[in-house]
Amino acid sequence: MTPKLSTEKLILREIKVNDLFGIHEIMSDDETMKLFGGQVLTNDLEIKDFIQIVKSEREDGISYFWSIILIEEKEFVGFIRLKSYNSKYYDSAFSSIGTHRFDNEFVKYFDRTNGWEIDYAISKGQRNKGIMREAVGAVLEFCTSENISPLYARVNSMTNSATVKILRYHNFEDHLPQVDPILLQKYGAKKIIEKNEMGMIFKWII
Amino acid sequence: MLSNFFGGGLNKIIHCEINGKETTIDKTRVLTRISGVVNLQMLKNPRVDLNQKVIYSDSKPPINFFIKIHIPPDLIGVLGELYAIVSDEDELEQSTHVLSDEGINVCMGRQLIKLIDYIKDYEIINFPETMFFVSANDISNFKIHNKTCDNWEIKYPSIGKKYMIKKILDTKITRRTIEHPGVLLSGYDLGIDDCSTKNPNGTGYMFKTERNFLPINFCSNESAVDYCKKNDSLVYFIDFMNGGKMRVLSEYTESINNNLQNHYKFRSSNI
Repeated sequence: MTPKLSTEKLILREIKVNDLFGIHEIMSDDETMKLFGGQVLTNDLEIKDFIQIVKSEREDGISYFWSIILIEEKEFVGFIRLKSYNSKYYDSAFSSIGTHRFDNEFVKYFDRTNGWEIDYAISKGQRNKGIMREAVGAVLEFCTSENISPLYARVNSMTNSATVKILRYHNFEDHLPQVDPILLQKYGAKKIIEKNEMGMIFKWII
Repeated sequence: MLSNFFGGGLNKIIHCEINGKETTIDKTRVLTRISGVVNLQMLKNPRVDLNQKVIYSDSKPPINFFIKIHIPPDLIGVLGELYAIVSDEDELEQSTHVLSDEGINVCMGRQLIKLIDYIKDYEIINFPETMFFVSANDISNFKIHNKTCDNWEIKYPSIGKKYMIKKILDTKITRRTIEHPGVLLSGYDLGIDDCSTKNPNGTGYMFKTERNFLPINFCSNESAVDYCKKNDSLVYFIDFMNGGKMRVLSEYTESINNNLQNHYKFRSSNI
């Protein structure tokens, strides 16, 4: 069971069937998914089992998923989740770097037994209202009370200043710079650094 | 009379979503996803306070419940009285469906039969999170809204937003067989078909659609299918009669259900 969390303006609660349309809206928006760092939905089939997957991952103890609801409007505006690195999620999270993700040189940066990744997405119309800052704060309080630590947050590009600001506000620290292999091939390292296009894995500990 | 109040006297025909027989809009029921049941026959000296929705007994501390479960008459002897519990009463997972008196018995009977093995052992039966179990109840138990159907313009009882539409940009119809269900072609958003063991050689439909869903009010699946025919659209909804899955209605829904030999010709298609 996903615990219900609340803040001044928000309720963070377990996923419900009617959230699916809101999740679809978020996941089919190119700009939002670029910020989130995931694939844009290409068809409706890709989302049809979303809720079942979330619920079974919770039953297996490898993820938490909270739908973010505005208290006053009772409206779904986004989601925030934790995914355990002690699961197959680690493999998929770093699949873009190929087998390098299993190298000791890389693995030493992560606590694969206790580490979790935090990520989140919010619908386009609700950005820049402080919603995600509040939501992340509530989840970190939960993590503190449940002794869930460390947390990692992957940011694909430092140009995503809103997310970087939220993470730094909540005392996430720069942990491991990341470079998109496709961008690296296309532009080279120098240009990526110049354009601030490199990514960062942030780390938070209790 | 409710059927007149909700426009049941108009010349629009709707059917029970279980047996497909003609019925009226006042047979709209509220389906609530529940997380477990309280089994009254296992409690010692139970007293049910229907106003406060609490069950007192000599064997357990007071238990809050959400609603009394509708038990079909032929199962009352086995199951006794059951009371539904929900995981989050602040925000219920609910929808409405049209079920005749016979239909509501079948709908509940199909689910409750799964509890028979547990009923002699447990006072409270909690369902796994992945299980979609609903309690179907009469609308008189709930605060309903009196809405107007955007297509048929008749009044109907509603518990909240249900249907969403998407405009179709392109349709591709192909032959399908049960052995070769086909794949969704690139660029298409959705595929449905009418293949089953009863109809091994069928038809597949693929749709390219606009990206975003738009909410709309329909009184029933019948009105939604009629809207699809007139507006080149698909209607999506979370179908509480089919596992709480996102499913779809289209202008081909009646034909698909005819070929699948379903009693209810307006049953949504799995996507």
